[in-house]
Amino acid sequence: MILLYLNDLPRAAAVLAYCAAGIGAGIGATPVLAQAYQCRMPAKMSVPAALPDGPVRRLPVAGYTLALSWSPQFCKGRQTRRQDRIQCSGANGRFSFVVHGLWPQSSKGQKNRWPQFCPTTHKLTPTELRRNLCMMPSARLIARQWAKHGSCMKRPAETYFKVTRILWNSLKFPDMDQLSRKKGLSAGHIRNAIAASNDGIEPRHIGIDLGRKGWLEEVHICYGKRFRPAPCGRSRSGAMDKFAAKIWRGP
Amino acid sequence: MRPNSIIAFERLYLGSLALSLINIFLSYEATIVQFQSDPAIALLGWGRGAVIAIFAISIFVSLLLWFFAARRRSSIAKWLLAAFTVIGLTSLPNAIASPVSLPQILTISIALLQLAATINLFRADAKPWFNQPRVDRDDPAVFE
Repeated sequence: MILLYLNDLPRAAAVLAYCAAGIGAGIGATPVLAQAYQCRMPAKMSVPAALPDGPVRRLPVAGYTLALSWSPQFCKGRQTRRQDRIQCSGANGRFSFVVHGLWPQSSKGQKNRWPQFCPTTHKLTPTELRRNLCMMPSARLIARQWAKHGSCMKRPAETYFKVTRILWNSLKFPDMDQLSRKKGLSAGHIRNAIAASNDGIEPRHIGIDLGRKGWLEEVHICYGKRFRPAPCGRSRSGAMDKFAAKIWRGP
Repeated sequence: MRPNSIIAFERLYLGSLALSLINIFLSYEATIVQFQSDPAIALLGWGRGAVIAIFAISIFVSLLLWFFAARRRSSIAKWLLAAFTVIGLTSLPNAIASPVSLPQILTISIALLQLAATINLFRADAKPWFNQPRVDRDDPAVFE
């Protein structure tokens, strides 16, 4: 009865939240696992401009993708590039997986149909930008993700990044160094290893993005509207399990 | 004069409410952490204030149900209590499976007290009591 809900507040909140906004509960509490090694960020940051490079698309949100970038691969050849200095120079820390972005999705099976660049009165502040730099170590990336994807969640930037941080902090990752040395490594091995590290996440909830020659570039975790892990479907699954994969460990 | 079943319901129900308040106090911080770890709730922008509000609303609704069932002979309140008991019992397996702790023991005790309380609403002596027309104590017709 209702008194039991007093002792199971997340459930009670889920019920109330569902009633209030048609949104139910998501994942439970999980320990924070920092992905960045010795992340140190500049004391002051300004918010870069993020101009739209595509049309405004206002579409209903049916789910989300948390896109994670494998930083050693991204930084290959970018160590001295000014615009990638924070992520790739090593001066601000060394990164393994970082968040590329949290992307609202419109509906199942529609490729390239996501809401984007929604007009919003909410602003991204330098404080909020700095708060997220260890998770997304690029000011340009943070500004762009907010402008392109976060703006379509109809909430302030602080809420968009808070949700992103909760999802990010709920994830655990396998020993990628060990995995990279596995003989005959495939996309399926990476998918299975990540699923095995995370309760509630199954291989079908994980998209694997391999670049040219099979190098791991991104991992996508697919969620439903209530932020429960959901099947990625064909459009978001990326490489099939049998594809040969390689993981760049860095120079 | 209220039947024994209704008196027993009242004692057991208010006892479970008292245990719930203790449990809220003991697990408040853990609840806040769990609440703030839910992205769907974070998206709503709900924080610590919402947790307190939910507790307050839950206690208020619980007291309302007790008042209408035990003091106003409301069959609607009786059936609402029965429905909440059934819904609440679904969380019992999780509570039993979780590691032994004081909040866990309290949660199980509360569930069992509520079940016992609600069963009393359906005992033989409670049935005619609920079916009686409610008489307003200030109604002069009572003394005619």
